[in-house]
Amino acid sequence: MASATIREAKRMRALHIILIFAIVAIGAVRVFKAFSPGEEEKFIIDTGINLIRLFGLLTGLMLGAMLISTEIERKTIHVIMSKPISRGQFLLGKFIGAAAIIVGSAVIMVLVFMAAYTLEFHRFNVEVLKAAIVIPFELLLFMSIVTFVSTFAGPIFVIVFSVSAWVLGHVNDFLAVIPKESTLTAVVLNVVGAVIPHFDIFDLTRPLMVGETVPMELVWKPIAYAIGWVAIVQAFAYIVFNEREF
Amino acid sequence: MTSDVVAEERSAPNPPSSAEALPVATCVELTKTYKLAMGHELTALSKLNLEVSPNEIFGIVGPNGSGKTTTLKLLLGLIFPTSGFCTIMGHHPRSPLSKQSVGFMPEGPFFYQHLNGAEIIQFFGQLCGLGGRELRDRTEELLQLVGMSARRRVVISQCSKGMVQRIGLAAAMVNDPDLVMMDEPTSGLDPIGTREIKDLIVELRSRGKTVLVCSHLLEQVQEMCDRVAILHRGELLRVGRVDEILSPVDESEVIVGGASEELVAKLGQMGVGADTARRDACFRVPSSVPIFDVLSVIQASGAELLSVSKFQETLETVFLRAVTTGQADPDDMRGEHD
Repeated sequence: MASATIREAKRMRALHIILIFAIVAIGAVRVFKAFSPGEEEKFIIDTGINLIRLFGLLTGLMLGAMLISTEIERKTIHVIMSKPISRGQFLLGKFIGAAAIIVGSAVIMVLVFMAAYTLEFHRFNVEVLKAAIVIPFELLLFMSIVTFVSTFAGPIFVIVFSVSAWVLGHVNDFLAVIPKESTLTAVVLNVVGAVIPHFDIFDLTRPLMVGETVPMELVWKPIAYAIGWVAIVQAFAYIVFNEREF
Repeated sequence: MTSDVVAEERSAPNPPSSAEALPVATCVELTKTYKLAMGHELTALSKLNLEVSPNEIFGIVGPNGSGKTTTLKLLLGLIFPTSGFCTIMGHHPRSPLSKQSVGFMPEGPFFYQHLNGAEIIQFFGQLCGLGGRELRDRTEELLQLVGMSARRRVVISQCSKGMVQRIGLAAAMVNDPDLVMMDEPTSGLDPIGTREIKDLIVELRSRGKTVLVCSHLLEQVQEMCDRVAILHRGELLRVGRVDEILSPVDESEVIVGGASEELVAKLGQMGVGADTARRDACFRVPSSVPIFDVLSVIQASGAELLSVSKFQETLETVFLRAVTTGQADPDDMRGEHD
């Protein structure tokens, strides 16, 4: 199932276009330094890493839109589910295939960015690599959410819900500290804070912006966090998908 | 109604080759109700009792919305019963054990557009745990069976509907299932494609397979199937062997060209029913009326006698009678197939 998903994704022209555009934009990230005289390196790091994140999200959304809903829409799932394959295997195969595509694309973008950075500044900066290397794991977690939503919703809802979760996840810390005007607001924000993963922990550019090194703890913790959350989200996806009727 | 059905089912002999064998598919009081908006409910299938025996072609017939596809989906575990249960080879429909013995061809199968016929078969073969030489040989065998060997490299997006249907059948057969389920297998096919699919279905039975066919094309089902179940609005109206369902009618059928109204009226007085809706009038002569008297009247009228034959009831007439006695609307048979 995973290989079929990869093969299907490889045929999607939109994904090719996103990846080519991403490679060109990230590879030419040096052109953005003109926007921030005197802060060129910081600007390039910030822009480059966020471009990887942005194009990764687009890739995830493109994959998510076709992941399961297309199979249901086309009724391909009827034939697949009539074979000796469990719903869990189907779902896991779909996720692994999509995850391989998104992580693979992210790794390519990270390599292109590191190459562009090294060429620009004539040195390899391991601290930048640390900040960039967690992005594929952030995208893996994002893909997991996309897969979960696609088990019960169509493409539009997948996009809206997944992007909302990602945005809220990036401001999760902020949600915790904003003043709550009513009990209801407090409850809602606390629930959102609890059920939406903290995507902000994947943002390791802050130390780099002030010229500090990135502690290894800040690298492995988000990676472990992503893996843990992926397991939880996939478990929920399985529960939902197992009860779904086609 | 229910007692009639049960009695008929019980009296129906099993197919000769496997009279003692356990049923491959069983439905017991199988009911599926969908919840709609505003608290409304739609019963797609109501208390269906059915058994499909090994090595037979079993047809489920009925108009659109009668519950045919719902029955198949329940048997495949794609949807879940509201009450009652069903089994495949004695296993729960969602059990992988049941899936090992089942192949399914949906109505108008839609496969990955970028794959060709051979790749589609291999993809589904891999899902069934096949690989290597075994899968290659199986693919080759199935391509030959469905007549797609020469067109194995044509990608799905360039295949005709008939070709996709054949590949769908091959994909359903890849795990060498004992039970092949087909939903409207001849949907959208031209007469030649329809003939070929029907021949393939009969071929499957000769290979020892059981075939469960859902169709609203009664004529095809009558031609292919050993036993049929007639569904209407989710209710089982009749079930049994085709030759038993088509009750013997002791009547002759006389086709006459250029029959005048006077002739129709005269034969009507003799107790001969007429169907003048066709281009040539069709008279049904009961055994109580001497056929030679009828023929003499026709000859005297100057009309052209085209044929005289023993009247054979069709599944369509049985269906229409069944839905009429069941207070159902036979007009529902007019669907997208018309």
